[in-house]
Amino acid sequence: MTSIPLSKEVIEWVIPTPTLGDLSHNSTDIENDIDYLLNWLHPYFPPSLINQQQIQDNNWIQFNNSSHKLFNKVVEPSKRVKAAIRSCLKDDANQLEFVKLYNNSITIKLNSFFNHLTNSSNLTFLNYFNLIKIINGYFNSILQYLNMSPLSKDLFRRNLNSLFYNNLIKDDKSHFLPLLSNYLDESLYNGDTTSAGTNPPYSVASINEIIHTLSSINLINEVNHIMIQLSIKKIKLFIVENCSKVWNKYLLELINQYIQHKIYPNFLISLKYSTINIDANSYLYDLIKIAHDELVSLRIKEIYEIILNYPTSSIALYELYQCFSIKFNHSNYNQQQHNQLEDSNSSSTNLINDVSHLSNFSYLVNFSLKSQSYQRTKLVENFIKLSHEKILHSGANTVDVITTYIKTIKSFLIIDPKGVLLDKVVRPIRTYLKTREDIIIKIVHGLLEEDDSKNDLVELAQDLRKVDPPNKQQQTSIDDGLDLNWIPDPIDALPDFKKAKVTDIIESLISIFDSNEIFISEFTKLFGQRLINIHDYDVQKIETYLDLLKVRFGKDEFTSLDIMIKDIKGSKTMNQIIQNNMNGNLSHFHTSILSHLYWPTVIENLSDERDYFNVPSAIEQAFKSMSGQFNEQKSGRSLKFLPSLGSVKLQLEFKNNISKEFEVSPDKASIISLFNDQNEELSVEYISKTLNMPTYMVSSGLNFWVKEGVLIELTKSLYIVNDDDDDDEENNNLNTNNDLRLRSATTTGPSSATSRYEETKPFEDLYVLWPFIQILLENISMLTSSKILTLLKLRVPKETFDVQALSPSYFEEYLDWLIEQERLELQGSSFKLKN
Amino acid sequence: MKVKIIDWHGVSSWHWNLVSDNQNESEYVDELCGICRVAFDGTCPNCLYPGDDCPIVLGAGCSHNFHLHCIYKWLEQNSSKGLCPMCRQVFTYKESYPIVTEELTNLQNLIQGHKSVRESGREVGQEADGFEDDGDLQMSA
Repeated sequence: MTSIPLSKEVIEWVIPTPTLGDLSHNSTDIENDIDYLLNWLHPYFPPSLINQQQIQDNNWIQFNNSSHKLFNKVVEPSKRVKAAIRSCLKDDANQLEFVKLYNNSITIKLNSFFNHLTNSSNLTFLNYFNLIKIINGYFNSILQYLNMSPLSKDLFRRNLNSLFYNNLIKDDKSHFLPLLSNYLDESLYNGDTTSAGTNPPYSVASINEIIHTLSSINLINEVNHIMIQLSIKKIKLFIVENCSKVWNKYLLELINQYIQHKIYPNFLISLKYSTINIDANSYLYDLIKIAHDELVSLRIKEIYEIILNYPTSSIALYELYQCFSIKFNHSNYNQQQHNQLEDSNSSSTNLINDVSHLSNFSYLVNFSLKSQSYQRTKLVENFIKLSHEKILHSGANTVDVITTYIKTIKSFLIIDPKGVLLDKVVRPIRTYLKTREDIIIKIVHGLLEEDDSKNDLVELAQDLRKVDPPNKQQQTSIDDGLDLNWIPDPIDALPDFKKAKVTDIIESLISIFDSNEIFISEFTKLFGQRLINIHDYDVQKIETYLDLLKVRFGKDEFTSLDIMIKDIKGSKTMNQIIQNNMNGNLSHFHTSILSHLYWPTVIENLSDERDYFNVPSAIEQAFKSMSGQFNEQKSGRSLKFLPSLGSVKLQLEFKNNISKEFEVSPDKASIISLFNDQNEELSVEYISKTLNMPTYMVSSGLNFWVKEGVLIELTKSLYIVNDDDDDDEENNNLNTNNDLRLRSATTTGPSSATSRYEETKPFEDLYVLWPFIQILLENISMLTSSKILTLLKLRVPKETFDVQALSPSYFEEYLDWLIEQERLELQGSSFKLKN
Repeated sequence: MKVKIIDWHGVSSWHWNLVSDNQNESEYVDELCGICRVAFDGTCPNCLYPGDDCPIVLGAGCSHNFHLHCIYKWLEQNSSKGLCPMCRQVFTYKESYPIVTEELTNLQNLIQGHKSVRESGREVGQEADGFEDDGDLQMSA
């Protein structure tokens, strides 16, 4: 032989590979022995299969049925042959040489056989399997008779295995792997699911046999690979089917059961033949871990909805926490694998996709170890992304955002009690909340609303009322270096991580803003309103709230509120003292005495125009005497009355002995007080002047009383007490009276006019016109009487006064009267305002 | 119809009577303490509650008013020489309080102390100031 470095092909072309057939040409002593041996070995292939080589595709079923015949053992060699074998394969060298040559012969045969096989498709897995079994069985029995040394046997086997491997696995045209995978899938899983009682079409025994055979031709790695893929596929399917949108049931146990009873036993079958020598239980943990990972990825996708569904979804959240916190007991992982993992992590969300291409168990193990931190990151990222889409935009309601925020806090504390994830997740929400203008008001009202059913943010109120609020002392962080109980921050926490800042809901909301001041001022405002409206001077409830708030915000922040509460308490004692001194003369009047600098929200909004009107004289007297008393009690100080604040309890007694009680604001009380014992109608203008109150306030007050049925609106500006049972009749009477008077005025001559003149209140019916005349003349300084009348017809609303019905002569009389009253002046024939 | 007021819960605010000369109580002057620059109706820097807890003192010799605590602190210093920090006249106060509190007594003692220091100084031969004479007269009155 030559040792020229040529490629194998070239050599084989020049010198064909020697086969056993070549032996017969050697004329040696053992020529006869070899002949016998060769005869016995011929055709280097299971004879039963050689016959079948020509069969057509459609005959394979038949082949399948009759296959048991094909399993015939190789005919036991005769004694002569045995002798030949013994003589030919005397020593190791001969054996090795023999094996080499024999292998070459088999290679040719097998290759051509499988070539033929793969070209004809439609082979079922069992066909393949039987073929393998036949071939394998054939060569095994041959090997048995050859009596060779272990080394040669091993060589032979390895060669045979590699032949199988090349033809079944390596060959692109081979369908063997997909068929195997399908077969295992159907036999292992479908059988179980359809009917548990009846025997599955393929018994476990046959599966065992298949795997045993496959492992005997060293295909166990492939089988394992398929098993892993199958198991993962099954787990995935199971989780998608059973866990999607199911947040209120414990699922982990169910999953574990499923794996333990359905997946793992099948897994073990292949595992038994596996050469890897690891504690089998660890694979169970790995499978469970894979299932957990799959569940986690599912939950990552659902996280936003889960959180919105809190607290219904708290079980799902708790299980997520469990998935994150389970530590699988694998110690062997090093930097290299770490790096590998980072590569594979970088791309996809779905971990199982990454896992499924791994066939190596140890790799899988390490993967699961590292995936937790990856999943945590992914969870945070996905939640932030979703919350930006769903809630952190201008279309969302502030209360909704706060509610989501609260739910986020509670949910993520379940997932990660250390608060690290929460810290990361809430940052964007906090930044966003800071931009909402109404958030403070919402929070403050949420905190202090007493009626839970009206409170959109009940959690806040409940949290505030909690018996055991977080200790403020712990939150004001002592220097880490001095803290004896110092624990380092969790490893993946951001640098400015502060647990208390994010875990306590109220603290978390408050700390959105850099300063507490906004909250304090809002509290002051709210409490100011409440304190002003407290009529029995009982501040206990507010004090309780204030104490609760002090725990949260710090004791020194509420000076203003402290003073406010003290004011009210002081007012109570002061009122009692004064009441005693006055011997009950002031029983119907009492006052809260405020330190005006500390009630900014109450007092600063008062305006001279609106809020300093005249109260009924009795009340004014009462206040004066009270003020005098106060002066005696606290020398050097005096009281200033703030008429618009407070409230009044009234009793209205009507002529028909019906009395009604009202509790109204002081302005309304002052207005209605004017109607006390008043049978005549009163005009808005009159009330406004008497009370020193702007007309719109008077009007709205009057409207209130009209709505209550106490007053009747005669015209836009005239009101009278509704003092009769029959409202309508009263109303009509008044109207007809008015009409009559007008009509008489228009029809009667000057004589009757003069008689009017002598009345105590002449032209009373025309009073309403005066403001209009005044305005006209203010604007157009001089006008004749007819011009004034024409303009009045345009200006005066019909409801106020029907100018059309007014006779010009009567009107002129009225103007003359006005001149006499020195309100008007006559210049030529024109009238003007008297200066 | 009869309107009967059963219960009128009014609201009022208290103020120190600063301009006691014209006795017009309704007129309220929002003045600041000359020392702490906080309104009289507020508190001096050391107090929490206004009113009873942090009274004011009306100057008698001059027209300057202060929180009691503020002027007390000022007079405690020897360098103040018992003078009003605003106008450098001898500081005395109007005894408008019928009830003499402990704090007021202390203030009185301080003023007396300053007075005796001044007098002993004058005896030694220091020039007497006209204003101080006036102050002394008022004090003894």
